[in-house]
Amino acid sequence: MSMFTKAFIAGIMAVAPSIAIVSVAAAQKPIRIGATLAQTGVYAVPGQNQLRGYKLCAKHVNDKGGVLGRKLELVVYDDGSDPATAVSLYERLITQDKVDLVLGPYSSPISEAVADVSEKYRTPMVAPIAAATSIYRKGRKFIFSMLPPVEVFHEGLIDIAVRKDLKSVAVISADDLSQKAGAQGTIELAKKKGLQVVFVDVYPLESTNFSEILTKIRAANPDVLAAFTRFQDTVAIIRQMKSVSVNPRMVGLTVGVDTLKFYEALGRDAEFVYGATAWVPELVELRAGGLIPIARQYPGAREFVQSYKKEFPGADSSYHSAAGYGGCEILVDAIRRAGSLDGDKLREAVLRIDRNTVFGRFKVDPDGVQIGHKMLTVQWQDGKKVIVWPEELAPGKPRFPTPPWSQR
Amino acid sequence: MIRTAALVIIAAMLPFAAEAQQARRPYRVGVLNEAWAANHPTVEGLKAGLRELGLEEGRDVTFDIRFTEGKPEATSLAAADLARAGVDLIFTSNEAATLAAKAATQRIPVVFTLVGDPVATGIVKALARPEANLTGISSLTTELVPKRLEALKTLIPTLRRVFAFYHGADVPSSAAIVRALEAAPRLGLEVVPRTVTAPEQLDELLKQLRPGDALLAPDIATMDIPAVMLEVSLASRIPAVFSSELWVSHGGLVSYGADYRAQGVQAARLVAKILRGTRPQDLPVEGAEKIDLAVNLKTARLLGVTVPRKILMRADLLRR
Repeated sequence: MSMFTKAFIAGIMAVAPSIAIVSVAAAQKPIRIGATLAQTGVYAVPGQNQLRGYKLCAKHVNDKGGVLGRKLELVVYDDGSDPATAVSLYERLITQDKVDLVLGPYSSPISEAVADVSEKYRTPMVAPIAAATSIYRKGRKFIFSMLPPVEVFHEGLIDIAVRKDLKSVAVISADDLSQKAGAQGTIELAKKKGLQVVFVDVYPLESTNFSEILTKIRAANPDVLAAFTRFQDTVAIIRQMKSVSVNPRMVGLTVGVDTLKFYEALGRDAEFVYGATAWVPELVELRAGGLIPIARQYPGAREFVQSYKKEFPGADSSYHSAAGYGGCEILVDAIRRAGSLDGDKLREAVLRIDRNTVFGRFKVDPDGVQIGHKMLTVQWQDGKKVIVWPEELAPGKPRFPTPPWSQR
Repeated sequence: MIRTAALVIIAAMLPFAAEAQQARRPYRVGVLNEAWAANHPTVEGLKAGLRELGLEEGRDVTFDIRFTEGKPEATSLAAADLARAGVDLIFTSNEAATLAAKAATQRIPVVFTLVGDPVATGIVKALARPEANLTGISSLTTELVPKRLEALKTLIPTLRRVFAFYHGADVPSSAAIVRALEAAPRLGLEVVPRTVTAPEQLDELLKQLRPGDALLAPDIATMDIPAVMLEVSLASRIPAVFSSELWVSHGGLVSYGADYRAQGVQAARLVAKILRGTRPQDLPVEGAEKIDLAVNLKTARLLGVTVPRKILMRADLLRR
């Protein structure tokens, strides 16, 4: 079976124009936006969530009459979580399907690979989930990040650890572009804040058994374990920490901790675990310092949460969904500002954008690195995901220290 | 000289050392304010201040935090609840919470913050000797009102009219309004005070705003008035001046007044002394130590305000 027959078109024209609004918009050809997203393979869960974000954004834009008088039409293929497949599919989207524009795939490794394609065809690519800074620091002109640099994902974990007078940290990561960069950033941050880095390791992507690395961590006996993980690793690592009896006083992981699936898989063992996240639906209810509503920093987020539930009943959601929606918002805004689909004009428009979307603030530096968006640290407490950092936004306090497994 | 200083420090530490040996139960501090979550900056400041003084949360002190979401009736009930629960001390933020605590108990010590004029509002009889179970930090917010208006006028020299909305039963804001009305002619301003008794009424009053007007936000969160003013300020591009930097860090144009968190840190010293046995009436009310002029340059750009050099030089905090 060829990769193209494996690929499928996930969504075409989110909404058909109703008769009542048949107008210039309906008469004109839609703007076709191509993307690949992992619907299968290791990135399937966040990839599907990101796609739901794209679909919902396209629907909402079309419900309001589209952009430049034209509707949006998504052309989406499954890249199977494979960078090489994604490269072929973006080539196909641009040269054969002749899409007008593109949006980013899921993950840093895949975005890194396909960025060369969008660069070649001088078409801007807003990348909702690609936080490895190196992608943007290679002189590329047409890729822009929604996520802040992965190097700061565990800033909250480290900050809390320092305030709790902890002294040592172990940093591990999956052997992928983004997670390794995150680990390196965390090591530097920890050292800068006076923590001793007592153990560093990278585990292979296909790992399912973490007992060896966890045994080494147990021997190093760090106060904090900061892990840069992929979705499926997070659950396995916590489970095996219990069986190997690894007991740091704080443990934080990246992708997946903020999802309900994480707690469903682990139950009480998810308690006390910290996660880095870029967005949670609870943000719309939060007040800074208990006084100032911050919902205005996430305009439309309330409606996004409601319509997501309505449109995809029972479906998983995570910050990847909001990032997908926000990325599509930025592209649409750029089209409006540029008044054109020309790649160079759109690029100029994106670089000038400083606004807030459903996902939060968007502002990139001249290389396309996100400098406006802020990360959050969450912790599972009695089955609830509680924002514990930054302090100003955090209605909850970290539950500290994490008790040893034998005492839970 | 150095030896004398060392002795003083050791002497100061003795009461805590003695307590530690007795392994007494943790002190129970009740917290009362009108916030929407437990992390009001004064409470964060109190915790940090107590920690610096050797009182660790959990080990030495526990907090029973009641926040009443700007609802006056809930504040009285929560005060009565805390008194019944028999906490060792009640820590309050703002006049409404302090007056509610005062009404609820004459026995349990009360340490207040965010109180603009503790004597005028009848919270204490005299600043130097409070003569009751209350002492705390005066935020000086009332007497800083003219300065607040002056900062706004310096930012926008063409400004003529300033609306001041405040909750009808909010005595300190009324006092602040009197100061504002007194200062207005000197600044070439018209101050238009409007009392609010229900949220719907606030919506109606906001319709009176015209381009070129500005807002003076109250320091009291009752009925969420400052947050609504911030929202209107940003959505309708109406300049607004606030009482504390927290608002400026979230989009308010300018603030002049006492820092919320710093008031909590400052009050922690009074709280620690009272927990150690000092009577509140023997501890004079202190004026807030950290008063800042803060300007949000991003909001200034949004509102089309060119920030004069004078303000840039004077400002303690500039948000970019």
